[in-house]
Amino acid sequence: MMPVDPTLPRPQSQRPGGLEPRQLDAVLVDGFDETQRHDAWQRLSEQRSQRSPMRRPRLALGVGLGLAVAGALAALLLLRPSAPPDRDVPGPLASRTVGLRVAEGATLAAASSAELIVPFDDGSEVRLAPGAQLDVMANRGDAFVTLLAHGKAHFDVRHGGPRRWQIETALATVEVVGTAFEIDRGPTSMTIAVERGVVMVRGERVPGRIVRLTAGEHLEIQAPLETATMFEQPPPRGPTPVEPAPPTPAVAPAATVAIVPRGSGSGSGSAARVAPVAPSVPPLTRKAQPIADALVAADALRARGEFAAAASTLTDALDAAGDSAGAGLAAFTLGRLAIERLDQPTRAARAFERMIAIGSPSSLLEDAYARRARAWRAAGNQAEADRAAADYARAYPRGHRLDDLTPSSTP
Amino acid sequence: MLAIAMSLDHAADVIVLPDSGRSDRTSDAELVRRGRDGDSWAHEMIYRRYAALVGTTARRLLRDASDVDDVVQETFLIAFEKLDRLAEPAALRGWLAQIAVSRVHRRFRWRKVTRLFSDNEPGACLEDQASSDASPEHRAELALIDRALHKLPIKLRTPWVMRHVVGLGLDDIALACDCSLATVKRRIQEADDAVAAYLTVDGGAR
Repeated sequence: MMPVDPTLPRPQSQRPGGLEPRQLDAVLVDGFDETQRHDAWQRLSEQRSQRSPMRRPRLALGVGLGLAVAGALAALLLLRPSAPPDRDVPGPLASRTVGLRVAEGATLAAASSAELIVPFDDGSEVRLAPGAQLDVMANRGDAFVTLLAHGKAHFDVRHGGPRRWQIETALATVEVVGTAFEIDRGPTSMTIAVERGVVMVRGERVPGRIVRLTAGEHLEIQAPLETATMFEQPPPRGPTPVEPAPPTPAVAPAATVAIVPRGSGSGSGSAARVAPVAPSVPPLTRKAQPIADALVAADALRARGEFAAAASTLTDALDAAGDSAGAGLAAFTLGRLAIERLDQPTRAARAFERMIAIGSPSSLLEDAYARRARAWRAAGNQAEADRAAADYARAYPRGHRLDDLTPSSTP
Repeated sequence: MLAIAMSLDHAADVIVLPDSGRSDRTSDAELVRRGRDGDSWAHEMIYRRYAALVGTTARRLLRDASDVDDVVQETFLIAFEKLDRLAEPAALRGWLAQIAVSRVHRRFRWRKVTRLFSDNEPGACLEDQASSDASPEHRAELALIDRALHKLPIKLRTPWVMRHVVGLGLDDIALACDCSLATVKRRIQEADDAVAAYLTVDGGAR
């Protein structure tokens, strides 16, 4: 048969009114949507970090059989019970400062007048500038995930260490293995400056959504300018008339991003030196705020012990934000506030659910799945708790919280 | 000079750094070169660029959607492991499709073994993938095409789906199916004829 070039248009439809092959894609759903892509990358990264390259059934079968035989022989020869061999799996990171807790859920906060230096048992070190706050989101043998709520922090991560360090902010995610760098998280901007090694910065406002920074480079990311109008100052007390604020430009750039080598550019010698963040935030009016600002505002309220107001701020911002950048982090923060401070497990579960639906930050997704299940359980909704636990097991079949969430362990 | 500073306009939240060489414009060959050096950024860029292609290919070929994630994961794990073996770095797209197709076919073979006593023939189920706004006529059409495809051998079905459903180019399909361009053209034509004949007969009998 003479081959026919399928790129040529077909002479006519094979069936009157029927779909031409080229029209098929138009009536089909997305074959692999963004959420799937994101989840698959997460699992791929986990699998690669565990150095188990792929499932090779035949090879695995052979190796498994060999190991089983060897194990049986060893058991027979030794004929004595012994403790399982140390698999040399590192545990969570610990602080070398006595009494300083860095477990999941811990908050590291520097006083407003002094730096906080946190040395870790693996040789890494975090220095928090006065007023800075770092929340520990996950602390495992393979990952140390934190949220830089505000302020400036300097990270010196031991090179070649077993853990992936990930620092979340509303504007971007920074990921490193071994390096020294500094993050300055201001109310409307952040700067990442790398002293040594390499860091990966991801985020909606990052060029190409991901940038690799090497020693000497730094990246500045600014939130939309309109956020500057977010913190509405209450009118000053006293007789002094208030000058009207200059009008906000009708059209403002959405964001500014810059990547420059350190020491260049305007201002001081080091472009990474950004003015320190004010430790307190002015009182806020109740209106929906951009997510990045809502996070800062909520954090300030939380620091003052106004947990309900902080949660409301996040809720309002989330209602207005849809699934925009940073919304996931806001939802996660709201979930934690609700369960840990307000004793509102249902609200917490719904917040974690929202974060899972948004799908970012990826480093907190597993935590969100687990927390959702626990929140539903705390709310007494066992059916939802079981469903959430099953979702967790599906998404993270080797997840380290699996044992905590299985129905058998539920009270 | 590395210094760059620019503002974003409203239309786009991202900018391309002209000197970085790290943008999405980085060529496949460059990504492969960096990936071979263990550059994790390059690996991620490869994934972001081609995850949709690999995932869609798997989804359209496989009946079981739960296998899609596995195929994607395996494809990229293999690719990252074997980047050194890619003779022509610019052919990354077709090479990834080839790995994906081989993983899909592997599942077909496995299913044949496990379903020896079953009448169910594995393969794409396009009707299940119809978008919510697809008309009843289109759904019926997809069901017919499904049945037509199930009657085809895999070696014809795969290039047809890749061409007409995924929308891949013939060169990429040839690489993915590990055959010559002429063979791919011939197989797609054979599949076209078979599908058309089935639709005509079955459609008329409907």
